Amino acid sequence: MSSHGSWLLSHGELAMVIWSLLLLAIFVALALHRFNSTVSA
Amino acid sequence: MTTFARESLLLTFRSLRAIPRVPERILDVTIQPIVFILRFRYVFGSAIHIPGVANYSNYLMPGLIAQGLAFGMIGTGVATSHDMAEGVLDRFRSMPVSRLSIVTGQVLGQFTEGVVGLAVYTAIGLACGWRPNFGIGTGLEWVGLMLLGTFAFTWAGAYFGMLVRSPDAMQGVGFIIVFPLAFLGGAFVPIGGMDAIRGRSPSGIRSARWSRPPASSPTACHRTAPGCCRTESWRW
Repeated sequence: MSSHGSWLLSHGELAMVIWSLLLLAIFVALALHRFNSTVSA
Repeated sequence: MTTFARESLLLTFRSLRAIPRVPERILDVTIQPIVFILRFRYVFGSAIHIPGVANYSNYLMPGLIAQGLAFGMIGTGVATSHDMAEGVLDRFRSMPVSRLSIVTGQVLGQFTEGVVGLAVYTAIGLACGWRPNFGIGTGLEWVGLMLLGTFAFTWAGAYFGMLVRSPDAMQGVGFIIVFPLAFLGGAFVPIGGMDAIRGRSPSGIRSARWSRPPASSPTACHRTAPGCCRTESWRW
């Protein structure tokens, strides 16, 4: 079966780097915001 | 060394120093990998035959390791939730350290445990017949990808740990998030052969699109640590 034409799957290593950096960008910001708001309460 | 780095390292070592007092805290990175490998290699593995793959360990282990780095999210979340519930992080706030270093120290401590987990997965996998066909360059690429993935999921775990109200809830939330991602991501069998992907799912679920982002980690593991595996995680 083909890779469904998905760029994400045919470039697994680069996709993982992008996916990981995206997770980092989202969750670092969310975690710091959550921590600040929690300890300030 | 900057004040931020010194404070972060101090709090990282504080997190790691708790392990000898509560050794069961690292069961998720020591015993759990062994359980997963034995279960999928010797129980389910005997019933799984992937075309083009003579030794299932060579397909399974990269997938299990990719799943393992995602599972690090649960351990981080539980530890963070526990520290929040016990007021540990609140006590740190009263100390003359920056808030950023408190969270960073927590994450780096859990990241270190995650790295230990990856080492355990690799060692047990090699003992159970995994034979990755690494060159030096590919090996370094694989290690870099695993460390980056572990770091990302550790931060995700820290956030979810602050979000939930108890460590028990984090266990449930973590499994709900990670297990479907691991299975749909092709960690154990190629996703191209799944009924859900081919549109033969009884419920009519077409999860191909959803499987693509989580599949990137197992796919990267399968491509960089191929062993004798010529079948990649999305093909069948």
